[in-house]
Amino acid sequence: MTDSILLDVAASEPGAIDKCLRAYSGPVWTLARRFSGSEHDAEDAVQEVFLDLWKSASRYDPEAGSEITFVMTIARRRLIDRTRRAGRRPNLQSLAEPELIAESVARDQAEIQDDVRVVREAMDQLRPEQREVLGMSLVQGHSHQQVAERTGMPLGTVKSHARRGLMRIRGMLDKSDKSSEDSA
Amino acid sequence: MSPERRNELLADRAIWGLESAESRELSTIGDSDDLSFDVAAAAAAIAMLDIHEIEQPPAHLLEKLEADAQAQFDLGSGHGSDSSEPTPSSPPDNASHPGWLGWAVAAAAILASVWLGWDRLRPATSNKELRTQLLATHGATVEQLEWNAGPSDRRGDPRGDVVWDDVAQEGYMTFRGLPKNDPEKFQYQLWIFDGKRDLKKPVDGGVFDIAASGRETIVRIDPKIRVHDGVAFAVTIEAPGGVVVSDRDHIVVTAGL
Repeated sequence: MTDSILLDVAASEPGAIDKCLRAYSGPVWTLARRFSGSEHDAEDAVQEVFLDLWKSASRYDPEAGSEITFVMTIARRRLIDRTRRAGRRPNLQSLAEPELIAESVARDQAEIQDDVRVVREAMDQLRPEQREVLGMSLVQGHSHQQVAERTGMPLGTVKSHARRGLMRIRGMLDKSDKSSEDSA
Repeated sequence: MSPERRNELLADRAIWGLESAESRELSTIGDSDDLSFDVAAAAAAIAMLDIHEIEQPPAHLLEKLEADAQAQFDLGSGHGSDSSEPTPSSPPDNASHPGWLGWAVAAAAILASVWLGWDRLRPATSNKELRTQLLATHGATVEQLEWNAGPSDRRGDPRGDVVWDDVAQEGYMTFRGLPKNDPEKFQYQLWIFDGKRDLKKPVDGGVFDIAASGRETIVRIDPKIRVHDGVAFAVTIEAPGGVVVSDRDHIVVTAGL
């Protein structure tokens, strides 16, 4: 048994799959619901994400980054692929009222919150319009055209805000990591 | 390609995904496996997801996920790891990426192993192998759609799917249950609906035969002109050799329509 759920999964440790599903199925499912046009599509998407994850678990390097970001990177890539293949964007009206996550999973979320503290601080430094455009794109799963329609911004401006915002987050994360390396 | 354009494409890919032309443009540079933007996007998405918005997946989905995991570990070598796959020929250059990006490189290797599997390294011979290879090497851009039975009373009980990649201009149709045909009497003809063209004028995807209804048949797609955005597919019964314009009297299967 290791400190990493994913490495435990890869090593077929008893209970590791259950632990992994309890920790990460909620965030993946939540994102999938927002990216998918129907609950059925979201279920298919989550199955594909976890199939990717099972295949990839052994490659996770605990020293290189957090598990949740690893999981969500794979999840987002899969969801974007599915969305583009389907040639349609999410229909938010089709989503039912969300159920709050179970208490045990909420405890895992506390760790997640800690993991993303740096990102939150980075996002606080973004311009409001950059945050708005990134939020609609990354969390709500809107296309750049949909963001432009909803905000009234020109398409080029939407792209520019999103790109600059993401580049800034990437740069801040890079800087933060270099600082932690220097102090180590 | 300028560094600015490279970063724009990597950012767009991470946020919204890329169009086929953009994917091709990005593939012209050597470091399109750079996932640092994808990692930043994932981290930002997690940061913006409010804990109270996190939903619990339905119980039946959790059961499916557990079953999938069990199947993966039972069938795969290494109990769910992909360690049986050979090490990529070019090891990730961790030194070129600062700390937190380290596993982004590892993630790139994962995606490469998932999407660029080792099958790519050896020649494929059958359509089945070629189809598998296409899915492995172009998984990010391949469209995969299940066949639906068409309205024709000559459709039999068709099942299977169609895979198509706009980037590679390559695709395969898999059939079971489509009636065997006598090529001297009629043939099947594929029509590809291109999202960048007039959908009333589908592209001729080639004619083919079914030698046995009960056996799985995999047919390579043979479009007569470039398909920019294959969004839907249909197979009709036509005269031997096919037609230029179908009267669509006998549509046996459709996908994406």
